[in-house]
Amino acid sequence: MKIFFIQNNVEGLLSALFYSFVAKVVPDEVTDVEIYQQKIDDEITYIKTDAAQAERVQTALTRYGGYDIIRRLKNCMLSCDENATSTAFRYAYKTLFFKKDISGNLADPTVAQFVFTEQKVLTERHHIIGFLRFRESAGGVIYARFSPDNDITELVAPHFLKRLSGLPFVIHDIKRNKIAISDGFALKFDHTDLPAAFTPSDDEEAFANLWRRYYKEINIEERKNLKQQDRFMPRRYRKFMPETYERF
Amino acid sequence: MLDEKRLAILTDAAKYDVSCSSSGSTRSYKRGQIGNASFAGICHSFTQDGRCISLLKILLSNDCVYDCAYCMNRRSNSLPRATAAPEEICELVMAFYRRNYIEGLFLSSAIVKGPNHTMEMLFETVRKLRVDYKFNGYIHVKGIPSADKLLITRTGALADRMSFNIELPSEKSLKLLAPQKSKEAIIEPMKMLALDRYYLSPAKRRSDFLPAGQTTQMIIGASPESDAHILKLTEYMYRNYKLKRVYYSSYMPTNFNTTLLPTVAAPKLREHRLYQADWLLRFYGFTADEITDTDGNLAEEYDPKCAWALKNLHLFPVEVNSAPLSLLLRVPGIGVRSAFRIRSARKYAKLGFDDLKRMRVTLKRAKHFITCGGKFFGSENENEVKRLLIAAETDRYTQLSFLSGGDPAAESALTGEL
Ligand code: SF4
Repeated sequence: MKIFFIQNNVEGLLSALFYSFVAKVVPDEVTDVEIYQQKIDDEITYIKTDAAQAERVQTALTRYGGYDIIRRLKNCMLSCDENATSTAFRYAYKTLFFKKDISGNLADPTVAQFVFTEQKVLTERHHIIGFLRFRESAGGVIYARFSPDNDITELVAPHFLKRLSGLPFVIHDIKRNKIAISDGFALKFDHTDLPAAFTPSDDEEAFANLWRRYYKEINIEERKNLKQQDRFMPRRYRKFMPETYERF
Repeated sequence: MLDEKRLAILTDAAKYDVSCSSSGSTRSYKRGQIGNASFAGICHSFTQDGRCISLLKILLSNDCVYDCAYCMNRRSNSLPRATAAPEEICELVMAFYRRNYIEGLFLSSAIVKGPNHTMEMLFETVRKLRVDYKFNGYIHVKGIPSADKLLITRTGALADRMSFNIELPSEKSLKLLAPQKSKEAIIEPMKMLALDRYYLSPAKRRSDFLPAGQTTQMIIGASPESDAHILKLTEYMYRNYKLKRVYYSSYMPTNFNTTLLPTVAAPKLREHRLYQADWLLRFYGFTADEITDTDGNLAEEYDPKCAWALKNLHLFPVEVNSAPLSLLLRVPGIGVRSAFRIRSARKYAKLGFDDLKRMRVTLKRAKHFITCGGKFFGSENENEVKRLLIAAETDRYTQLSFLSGGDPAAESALTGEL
């Protein structure tokens, strides 16, 4: 199998596309060095990320594939699906090959795979935007922990920057040790190995309790339907929510 | 701070109100204010009954001077009463919003003292939130019938959505069951707000006045009106008052001591079918007359689109590669999303049956009503089709545990999609 090893970001992907067209090599798989389990008969090409090449490919892609194609490729690459990078590569390759926007052609397996992979990422983003829970610290900064399936911190944080304008917050992906920090006006992304030292504000527990009470009270007991609850609010998200978890 | 006990009373009194969605409003970020609203609406949690929590749904007070037969809070019912101060509601909204528990507020109230006093308290709460707390998130306020017009308009200028509940599907039932309310007291403010919205919004810009429009709600099964009657009323209100949404709420007998009301709850399935029919009116270009018989009810065995298709078999099958969008939307089992997928994919290549599967178009019901490149994969026999459709429907409901005590309306109120 022909494997391209790339740096796992969109420039890496674009550089791989450049190489592929210039060297006339079509890889079977495109992947990130860190996660790939090498097999004996693999033929590996290490792709060096090159900003100038990436930009040329980006221009071409945007011309043929529509203004949002780069954003969509990024979204797809944030997926936890192990083939996500290859999926994004194949979709971009096909767009360049046919020199046209193929996004509507869902009957094509390459397109379908790309669209549905991206959709899963965006669906999780939509979930998290609702389910994320902040706690207020004694210092006034609000802090949220979560552990999403896909690497969506960067897709989620801007929503809260807009919404909570002026209010400093931290969003912490504890699975990937990623954090988004806002001072109320701008976002910064970083990695951290440290568990957050968190001292809740005086009111924090009282408001969490009011919310728990509200949650209990608004439920209509006679119409219990746990299956439907599970379908709309997957259990794995609940340990970060005060209404479903006492110590979240 | 509002204490837990009053919170419980004021929540309990509001929980049967079904219009919980926060959609339809785009409020973008304003400097120095907190909050925005997203057009699609966001669910922040789901309760054990499977319903979405998007807004803090609460009553300012449940201490009512009216005596509507179907309502828990009516004067003659003895239950604990509570009232919250506008300030207390504001504080709670801000605390919940900052923590991302909620998308905004859905504020309603029983009639305290009289309509004007109540409307004034509602207005004051909203004013405080918007002006003093600089809250720019979603606010839905229930309008109080017979309240002063100016108060209503001023509230509308600050809220995203208002609703005057029509309560019952006919004037006769309203007179019987809610003697202190009148049809005019409910309809007139609806008309007025529709006009306000029209005149107070600058041309071609999104509306600043009630950006999410108006909705209403009615109780199903407490009075004898048929589905056909209800749907015609719904259609009339969509057309004439430009409502964004009509909600239906199944009647549930609580601790009532009255001969005016039925003793059994209205079946959930009926409410579910009404939501499906409502969806057909709003998004699929159906008219109320098409989906109901002159004065009958909706079919129970299958959804209203299937029922319509079975009555109009001469129009089917349709060819997916050439049928116009409006016709694709009328195929049972093909929803809005699938119809759009088909329309865009067929520009690239002729679609076969397997292509549709790959595009995740559900074919269980649709296959009896379509051809792909001239090929038909369904059953030719009408009775067989009926049997299969009913089987598919039963499957769907057992899967979603609708019939095992669940609440079908929770899902259909959320999406109503068909
Ligand atoms: S006015 Fe409203 S709260 Fe009062 S009894 Fe009638 S429905 Fe209930």
